Amino acid sequence: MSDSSIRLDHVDKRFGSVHAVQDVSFDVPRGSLLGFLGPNGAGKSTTIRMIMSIIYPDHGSISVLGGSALAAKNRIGYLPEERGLYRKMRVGEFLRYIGRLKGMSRNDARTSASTWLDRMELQSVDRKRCEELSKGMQQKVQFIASIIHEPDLLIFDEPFSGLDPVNAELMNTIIRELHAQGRTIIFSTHVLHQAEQLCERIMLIDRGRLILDDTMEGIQKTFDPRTIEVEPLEGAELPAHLDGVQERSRTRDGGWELHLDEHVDPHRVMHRVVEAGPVRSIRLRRPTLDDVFVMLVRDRLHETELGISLPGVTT
Amino acid sequence: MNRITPITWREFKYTALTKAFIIGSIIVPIFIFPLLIVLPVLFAPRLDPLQGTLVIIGSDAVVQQASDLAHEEQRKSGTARQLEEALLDMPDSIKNAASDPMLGNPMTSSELEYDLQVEAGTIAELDACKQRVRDHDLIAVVVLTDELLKAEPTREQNQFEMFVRPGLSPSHLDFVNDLLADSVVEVRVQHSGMNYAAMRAMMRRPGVITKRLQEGGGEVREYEWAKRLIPIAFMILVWIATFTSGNYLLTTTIEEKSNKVMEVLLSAASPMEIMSGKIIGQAFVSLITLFMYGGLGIIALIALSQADLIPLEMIVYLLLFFIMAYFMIASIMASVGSAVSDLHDAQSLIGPAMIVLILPMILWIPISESPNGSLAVVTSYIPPLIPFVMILRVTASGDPVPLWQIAIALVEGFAAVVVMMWMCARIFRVGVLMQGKAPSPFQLIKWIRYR
Repeated sequence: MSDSSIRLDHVDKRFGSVHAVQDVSFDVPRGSLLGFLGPNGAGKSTTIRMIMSIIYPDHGSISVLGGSALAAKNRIGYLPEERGLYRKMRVGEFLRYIGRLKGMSRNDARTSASTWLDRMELQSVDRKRCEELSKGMQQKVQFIASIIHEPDLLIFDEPFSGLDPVNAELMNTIIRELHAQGRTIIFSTHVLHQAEQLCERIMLIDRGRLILDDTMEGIQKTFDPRTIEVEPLEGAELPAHLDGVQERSRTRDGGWELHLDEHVDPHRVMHRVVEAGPVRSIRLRRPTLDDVFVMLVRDRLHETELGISLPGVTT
Repeated sequence: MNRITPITWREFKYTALTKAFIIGSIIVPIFIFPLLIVLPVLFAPRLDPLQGTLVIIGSDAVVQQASDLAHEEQRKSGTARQLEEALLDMPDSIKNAASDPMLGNPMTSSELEYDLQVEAGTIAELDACKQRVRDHDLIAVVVLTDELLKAEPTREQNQFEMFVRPGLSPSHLDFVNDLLADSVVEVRVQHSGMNYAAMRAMMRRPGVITKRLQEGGGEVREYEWAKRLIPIAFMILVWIATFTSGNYLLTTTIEEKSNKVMEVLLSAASPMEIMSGKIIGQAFVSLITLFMYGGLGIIALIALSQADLIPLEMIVYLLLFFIMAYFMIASIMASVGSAVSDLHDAQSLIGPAMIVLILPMILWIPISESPNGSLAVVTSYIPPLIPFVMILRVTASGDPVPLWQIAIALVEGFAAVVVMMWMCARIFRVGVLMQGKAPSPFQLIKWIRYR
């Protein structure tokens, strides 16, 4: 049995003149919890649709759960970004229908739908029509539809969309549980701090190309921290000028963020700050996924505009 | 196949087991036949009696004749007489229904109650008479010329003027017109020294009682109108059954796209499975419509003792060409439904196809009158038209269609079904993922060629 849940090998896809996915290769080990990120129109959905064999690549090959993607369809759960529910269908019936489509027997689909409705605190909506539900409830029903058949591979596109914090936490817990059961989870979102909290590994795709594929730890190591957070003691002030600091900004709690020049050693700057006056705290801020995302996407845009080629960052 | 079955069932359930379908396609047809009998009663005119005086200027003989005719009992208006003549060739059951006193005697109810006085006038009194007509003192004043009463009047001479009061109903006017025309003709005949009543009896065209000899012995009354109507009835049956379901297929596909549920379905089943499930599901809906309307038609023929007008092979052809027509229409509707995001866009794509498919409706009479004519033969080999034209041909009462032509139409038609379904699958596969502007027909061709 292969250790890969998904393997893409030089996958390429065009729609007319649009080159949606360009020579993408990656490997997702079984049991991973992976964030699949990218700006709008980057090629995420096309890649996901190819993984699910909704569409096929022009070139390259895709292996899903050790075989053909088509054969693995019943072992994949997919939560699309936009809610896809039959408005007039009753919730329970909809879930059983999806279960049947995913190869479950009538009884198994019934039992599983009922169990998950209980788990998601939706016991009372079984007989309600989908159109009668709130946006958050619809999202939860659709989430159940994606996991009802206990798939080995789960692909969630914006799973927390429309959920209040309590329900978001409930879904977060369930995703962690599913991961703990050894299922592979690919998680696509624009809310990067959620991906940062949940995912072990991040892939970033932009304009059809994979521009980042690394663990969170690796990303934080790779992307040099360029911001120092400092909180002077009451009454103390920072020096008006600090070598190596490009700009500074006030934080809400009265501290400062110091944004450093390129190629400046942050530890030297921290040393200078401490020497200049008493501080309550000082720390080197680790790069967030937002920082990395903006940096990479902006740099690629800049690269395209200038017609120059920056070194690749794909690991 | 295990994925197609639930899709088929859902498609069928959410179309056929809905209140709208049950009422529209099952309950309404069941009530159509009783309504056909009851409606004439409901719509039968309840006319006011025609009372008053008619002044005729120019001929005392016509005055006398009109007065005599006006005092005939049960004189019918022209419309009532036309209906009575039309009924002569109808089956007894329809005749009985039309004149059943329990149903309000719908045909004869157009008979008019009247109390009409006819007076002579002079041309000098015309203006005064016109004023009396305006004042509703007279029903009408009529001016006859001498030329009108000649034995052989020219076209220009064979007319007269009549001034009627405002608000005279069409039925009253119809009655007065007939009364005057009959009176003028009778006076002409009398002037020629002939007996009008005898002559009218001689001039009455004989009716033909056609009897059809049945294959197994026996004979039944042949009704020409029924033989003319059977081809178009069969074609409309196929048309209604296929287009009703085709339309459902179109709207449910568009709905699944606009609801974004298609994305969920595609994660569970292939586009081919979804399309197949939907088309098969709607095929059952279409069959219900076919059996419902077809069954009622057959029951009606049995009630009229005309069941032998539809031999068994005609039913077999109906089923074969219905299947062919359904899959052709379904492939068009599923393709368009998958390619667009709303019904408005769908109309612009379906329009050209509908123009072609409506041709058999326009060509119904020439094809059914001459089922082996060049027009019929040529159009029955043009794929989208095959089932509709062939059902007209095989049910027409003229020369039987050669078997080899039926065989070619069947082979070519079902080959076209395979090609159309293949093209539909290609378009469906791409179309269901597309959102936004509707594609042009040329883009659809491009989609067929996508890998």
